[in-house]
Amino acid sequence: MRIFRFIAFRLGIALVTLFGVSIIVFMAVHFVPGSYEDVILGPFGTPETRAIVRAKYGLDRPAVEQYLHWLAATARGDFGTSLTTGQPVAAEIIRRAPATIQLAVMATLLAIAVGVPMGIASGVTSTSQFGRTAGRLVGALGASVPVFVLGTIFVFMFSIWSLGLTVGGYVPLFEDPLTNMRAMTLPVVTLSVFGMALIQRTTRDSVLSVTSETHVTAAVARGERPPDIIRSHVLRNASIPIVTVTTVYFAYLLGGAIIVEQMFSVPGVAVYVVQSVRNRDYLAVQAGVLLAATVFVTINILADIVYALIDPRIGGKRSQS
Amino acid sequence: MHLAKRFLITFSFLTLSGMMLISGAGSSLAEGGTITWAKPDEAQSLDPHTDFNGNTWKFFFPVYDTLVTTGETLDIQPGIAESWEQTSPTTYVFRLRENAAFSNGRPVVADDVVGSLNRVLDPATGSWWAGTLGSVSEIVAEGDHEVRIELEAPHTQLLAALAHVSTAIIPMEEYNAGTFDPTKELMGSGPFMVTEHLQDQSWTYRANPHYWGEGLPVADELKILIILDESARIAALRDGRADVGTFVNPDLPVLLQGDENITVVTQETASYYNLDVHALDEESPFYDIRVRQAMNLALDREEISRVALGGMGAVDYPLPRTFSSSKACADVPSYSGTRESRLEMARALMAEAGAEGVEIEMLTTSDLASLVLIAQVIKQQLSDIDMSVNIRQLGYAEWIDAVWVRGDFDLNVTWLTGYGDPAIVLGSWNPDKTGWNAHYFVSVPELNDKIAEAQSTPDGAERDSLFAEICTMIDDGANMLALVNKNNVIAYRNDLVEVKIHPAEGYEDELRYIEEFARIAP
Repeated sequence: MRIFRFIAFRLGIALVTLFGVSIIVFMAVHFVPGSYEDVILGPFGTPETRAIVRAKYGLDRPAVEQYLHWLAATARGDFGTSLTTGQPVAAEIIRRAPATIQLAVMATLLAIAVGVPMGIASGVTSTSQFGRTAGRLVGALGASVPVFVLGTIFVFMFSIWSLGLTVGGYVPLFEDPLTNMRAMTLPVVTLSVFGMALIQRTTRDSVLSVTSETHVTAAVARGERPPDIIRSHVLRNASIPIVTVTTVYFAYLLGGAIIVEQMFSVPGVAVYVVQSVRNRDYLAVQAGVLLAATVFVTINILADIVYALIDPRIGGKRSQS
Repeated sequence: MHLAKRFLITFSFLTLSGMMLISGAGSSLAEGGTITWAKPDEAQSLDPHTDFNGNTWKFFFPVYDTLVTTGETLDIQPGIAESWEQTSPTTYVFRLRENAAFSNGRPVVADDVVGSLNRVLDPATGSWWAGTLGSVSEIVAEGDHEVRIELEAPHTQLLAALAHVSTAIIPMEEYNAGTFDPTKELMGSGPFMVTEHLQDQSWTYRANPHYWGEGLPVADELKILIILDESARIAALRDGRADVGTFVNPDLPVLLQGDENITVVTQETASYYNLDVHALDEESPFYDIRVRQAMNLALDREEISRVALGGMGAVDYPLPRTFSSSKACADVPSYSGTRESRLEMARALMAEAGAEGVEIEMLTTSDLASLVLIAQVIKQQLSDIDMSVNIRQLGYAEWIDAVWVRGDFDLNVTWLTGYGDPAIVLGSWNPDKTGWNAHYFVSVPELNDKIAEAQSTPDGAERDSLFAEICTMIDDGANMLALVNKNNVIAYRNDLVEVKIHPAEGYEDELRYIEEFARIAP
């Protein structure tokens, strides 16, 4: 029962958060300098032609009226029509979502697959100088190389020596899996390096703190095998921080892999939103940002539920607070 | 072996100087097939009559016809009108092709032309191009295949204005019936028709089966890939996903060094980079004409071309260098003498104006990399006359707002497109007529009159003499400064396609002959 109260509480907070996001994003896109008619008419716009465009797209109506109209439509699942293309924004987002989701899922899985074992290894070998240094080095390198630097190196190298991979050339996964993987490998690797470092460092710190606890010492004293100790006593107790960073990382990728999407021509949601910002395509920006916020909030709720399942004390504490 | 060969091969870098490039001549050509073009920008809107952006027009060119068009050297050529006649200084009669049809199969008739041009001229449409057509008194359909345009006054640039895609002929019957909306779809009588558009990803065109050009287009399909990142576009060319690519990076030939199957071509255009100067802000040092003139004299256009554009441009004039009449602008003070002598004059003017330690703000947009490079070179040059320049790079919409809506700048680096008649771009120097630069441009009645006179004077010695006077007045006002020309950089796979690239372009249509591009047989 306590877990349901906890979920209801988190959902309530999420709705308030999203309402706040909707106001902020609406204000941000409407009140920054430069408007849709500026983009469309460019230098050659006159006050008269600007007025024509504003009236044509309903941009001359009061901001509050525009906001309420948009909010009501969005609540019904109608994200409106793109000013740039005249096509439904929802259709554009749905078309692009698979590329972004695939990129985020693959990058996260790769980051976990590499980061967690490396973190455990450097955590349990922390008493050796080599293990400590290697762990720190890998973590620092991965976290400090910016995505655009790594991406630029990959683009340069693989546009000369393709090695079976392509820079761009995305096709949907289910249309041609092989071509898709050839096009997605480089962006996935580029994107996952930071995640590897993040997860590796978090895992290492978490493992270090758990291994110094008494129940692990007791397990060692009982003569349990090291792999069993790690699996049964260390990993489960060390997993909450790892779940936290992995969740945040995954949610971040879903909403913000813009540099990688652009560099490798992945037709994802992030490129769409950024191009829409450039074009002041208000409804597309609002929908994209609100959706990203919704995904972020939803994933965090799911993470909270996972915490509560891993450690039942958490759900109780949080719902009480 | 393969890698070693790649390092040994040389790259091809051509500058088209007055000659048409036809690659692959002698190779056997495949029938049909797909031509794939990688370009950096997506369309901003879909209405050819209102969109001002040259990057967007490139999506219109394969679809729409205009009454007339331009040839290899910006000469006026038949478009959907197979012939025309100027029956009086103010009357033009166009004879339409009888075999022209829209991609839905309906023949193009005079009513489509009349309706399209009237839509451009209708203030409610908000077309930015309407003013370049001059004072049109009426456009009349005479039968199904003849159109007469009556002007209130002679307007020499009319044909060049009609060659622009902003006067595209759209299917008016369908438009009036509400079955075609030019703001949401493209339908014309050109060589291709759009079959699929994936926003920010690709455009797919099929050959228009009703196209009037015999045996054209050669390819069955044209695909435009939107690849924002320049390196990714190069990669697409290298691995053969793209046959042709268009670029802005002046370092492209260096980047493609060693790719023997990629040819890089620089195509001259009538467009040039220019510097807007805010002369109406009393707070700005450029309110004083002497400071503007000093700044103009201090510029070293050759260095801008050499450093910012990697030598891929050339000094340009208010009258674009593509036109032979541009030499009238070459002798004005800011283009004459050595840089040292000009700097001396500039310093004297600054002293006369009492301008010391001047601090100014120069805007540009990060949307086009070359603009930022040019701004940096100018900043360095102006330090020679004790002008301290702060460069602000803005996002596109913010830039438009700052410069053309609010006028919040001292200097602004931008570009102008030259089109097919020198008087079209000169019209920009009359703020009373254009309106868009009236908030930062000093209106000079005498200059405005001369420009109007040049616009109505037929080509010839009298017009050239007017151009010379105009150039001197423009240089003297130093309110909008032509810098260096803005060439197109095109790269293509010489082992995959035969292309035809013309030496001079005025309307941003760098692949004007794309309907003649053909795949080379494997």
